[in-house]
Amino acid sequence: MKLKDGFVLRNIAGSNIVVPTGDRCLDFNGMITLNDTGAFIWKCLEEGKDEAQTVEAILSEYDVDQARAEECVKNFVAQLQEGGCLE
Amino acid sequence: MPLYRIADLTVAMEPQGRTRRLAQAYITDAATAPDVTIEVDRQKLRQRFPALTESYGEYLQSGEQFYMALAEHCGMMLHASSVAVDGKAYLFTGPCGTGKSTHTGLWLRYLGDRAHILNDDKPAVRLNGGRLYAYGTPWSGKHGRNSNECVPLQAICVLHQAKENTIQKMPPERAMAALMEQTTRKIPASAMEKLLDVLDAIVRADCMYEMGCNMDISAAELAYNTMR
Repeated sequence: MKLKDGFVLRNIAGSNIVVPTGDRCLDFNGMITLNDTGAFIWKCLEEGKDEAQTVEAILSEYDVDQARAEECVKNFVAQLQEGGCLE
Repeated sequence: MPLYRIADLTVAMEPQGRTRRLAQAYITDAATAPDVTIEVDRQKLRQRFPALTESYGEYLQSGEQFYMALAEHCGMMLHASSVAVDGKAYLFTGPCGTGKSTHTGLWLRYLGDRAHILNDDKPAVRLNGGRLYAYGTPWSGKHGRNSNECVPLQAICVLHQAKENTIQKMPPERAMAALMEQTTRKIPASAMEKLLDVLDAIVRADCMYEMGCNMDISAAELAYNTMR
């Protein structure tokens, strides 16, 4: 599981947005808006963390239990898969 | 290579045809090193735009190269018709066929000598010292209407056609999406980071509006009085 190249995540005026750049624009139209948790997970994936490492990172950053963090990552990754953001 | 000064960037290029005519007003004799060098491979033009004249292909290709470089210099192309009034720039954006140029045409009728077209198709927006400016450039659409100047940005308005004229402030999230739809996206990630600085400044400046407009001159009256 790896994020495709060519996406840029930025906080613009308080919103986390992901935009495609370069040739990525050809197969990905528009932009994605993420909430803070989504942006946190995105950054973990950008750093090359896998799902288990991302869950660990969430546990050390947020006050949630393991089950909740796992569910959160699983759902987010599924959404990315569906959106064509993963290799 | 001849030098041009476009949107406060020194551009080295040797355009022919249409681009050369449109860029005439931007020639500079300042001996500064170019910020941007645009080289158009005429062989490749024919492959890329087989249905276009060489002159028009060059116009598209050189514009694309300029706006890609503009992003590297904290600038953003916006697909918009822009009008300058009393030293302030108003940009009207939206998908093709929305009536951007028609609407700025109404501004010229409504405001007379006080208004002129800055760029009818692709103005440059740049961030300088925390302030936003709009620029005329040679890449100014079908009719080539542009003016070589830098004007403080007053407002950006996303247009759609409607029976009745209505205008309101645009919420940040929708404003961003609308801007991203009408700018250069096929640029390297490093350039996109800088373009997003400009986008961030625009959204923070709280200068985005959305308008449903018809073709009556009252559309210009409403838009101007709301955004001025």
